[in-house]
Amino acid sequence: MPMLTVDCVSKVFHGKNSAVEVLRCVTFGAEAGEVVVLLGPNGCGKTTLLNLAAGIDTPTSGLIGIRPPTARYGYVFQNYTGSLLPWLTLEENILLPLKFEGLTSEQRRRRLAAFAETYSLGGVPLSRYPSQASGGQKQRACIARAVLTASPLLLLDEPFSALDHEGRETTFALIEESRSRDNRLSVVVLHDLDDAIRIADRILVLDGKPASIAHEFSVDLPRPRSGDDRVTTEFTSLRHALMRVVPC
Amino acid sequence: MPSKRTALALTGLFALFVLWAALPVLGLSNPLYLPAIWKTARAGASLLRDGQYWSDVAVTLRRAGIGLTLSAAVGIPTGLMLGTVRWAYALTTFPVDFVRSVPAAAVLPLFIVFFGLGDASKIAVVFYGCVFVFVVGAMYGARGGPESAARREAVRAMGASRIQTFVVVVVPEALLSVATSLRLAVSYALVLVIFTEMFLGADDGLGRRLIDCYLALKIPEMYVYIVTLGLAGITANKLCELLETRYVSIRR
Repeated sequence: MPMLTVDCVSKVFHGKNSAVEVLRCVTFGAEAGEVVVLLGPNGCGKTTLLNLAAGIDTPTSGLIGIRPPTARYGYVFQNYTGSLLPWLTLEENILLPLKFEGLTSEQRRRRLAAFAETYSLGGVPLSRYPSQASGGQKQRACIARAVLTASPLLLLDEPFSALDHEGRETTFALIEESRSRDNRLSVVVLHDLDDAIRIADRILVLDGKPASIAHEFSVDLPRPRSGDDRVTTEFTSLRHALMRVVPC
Repeated sequence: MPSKRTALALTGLFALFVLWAALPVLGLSNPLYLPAIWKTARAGASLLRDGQYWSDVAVTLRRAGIGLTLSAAVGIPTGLMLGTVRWAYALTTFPVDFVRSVPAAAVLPLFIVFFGLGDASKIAVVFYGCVFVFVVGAMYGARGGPESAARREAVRAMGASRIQTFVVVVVPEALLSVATSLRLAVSYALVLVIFTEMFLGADDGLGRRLIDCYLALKIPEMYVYIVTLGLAGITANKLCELLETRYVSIRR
């Protein structure tokens, strides 16, 4: 049984006088240690799908299962700024999930120190409040917050949107390490095809109104991958294949 | 060196005193209603040396303070609960709106019947006038605005329980509107305590002294008590401002 099972999931949003069906019978499974990328046009329901997987929202029909059912997950929201608590410093924000896990203050700080040794926090001003940090610094703090937990599942909604080159490279490495060392499952929403090919084991293309999984690509390029791989034949042919099916 | 804002505030205060001094001299005001500033200052100096004055100040502030504290202690948790628990909000909206629409002056006779003419009835009026200010402020703060949804979703996604979400998100979010409620309630508390001391058979307190001065036509002394109340109001508001800056505004 896969770690994440999405079984014919549909979602309808009801307004005052209308209803919008966003997803129709989306089905896929994902294993631990896998990186699954969701691609698709704006408004096709990628974020809705992540919210359903996270349990923040409930499907109108269909089933979503996580194994084990009690597994926690780290979530980098598309609206990463809104997900930070403005009355806490960035450090306090990053450590918040660990507080909910019941770790003591000392244990939380030790975890962050160990994490910072492997993942450069890239000048994230830990003692500042979110209103005093840049967009990129806030997004890096959100990524750190999600990865710092011991959760076996990572949900990342456009995690590179505000990052500079160094931040992107560090985050690529972080996702790769979560996969290879910690055997975590990452479900990542992206728009950039090259980014998708670089990190994914599998790419699911959502399309249609209501959306369902229109195409599925397996990415079998050798790991670890770098930005230089973009010029290889396998990479470019996969990009071309994606360009033909990903709606612009 | 004082800031420009402080300098402007002091200039405004100084201009007010100059105007007060000039009006009787220019014959633009009746000295019976607006005594000369130096006469008022002399009356003030005499009162400040009098132990009764300080005792009255303490009594008034104590009554206002107890009423305010009790109303905050009851109103803030009640408002937070009503803002968080939907069925409780639906159940209590009408009764709360009804009761808070009844002016404090209208319940005065009722409180005399319940609590007599002592301190308890005066404190009860202050409590009644302020508690709904806290209830409404905390309730709307706890219900949150459009940004709250993202924060609450994020915290729930981190595995927070309902109680943890309440402590980590709801309470800090509500602080801003509770701080506004506090400012309003401080002003109401002073108004109400003076009102009750004037008309609720008090033997002491600044309200009682104001009525005494009015009946004895001691107009300069009356102005001293009025200025005292103004200073008490400004000081209380500044304290609220300091609390707000320290614990609420700076982090947003």
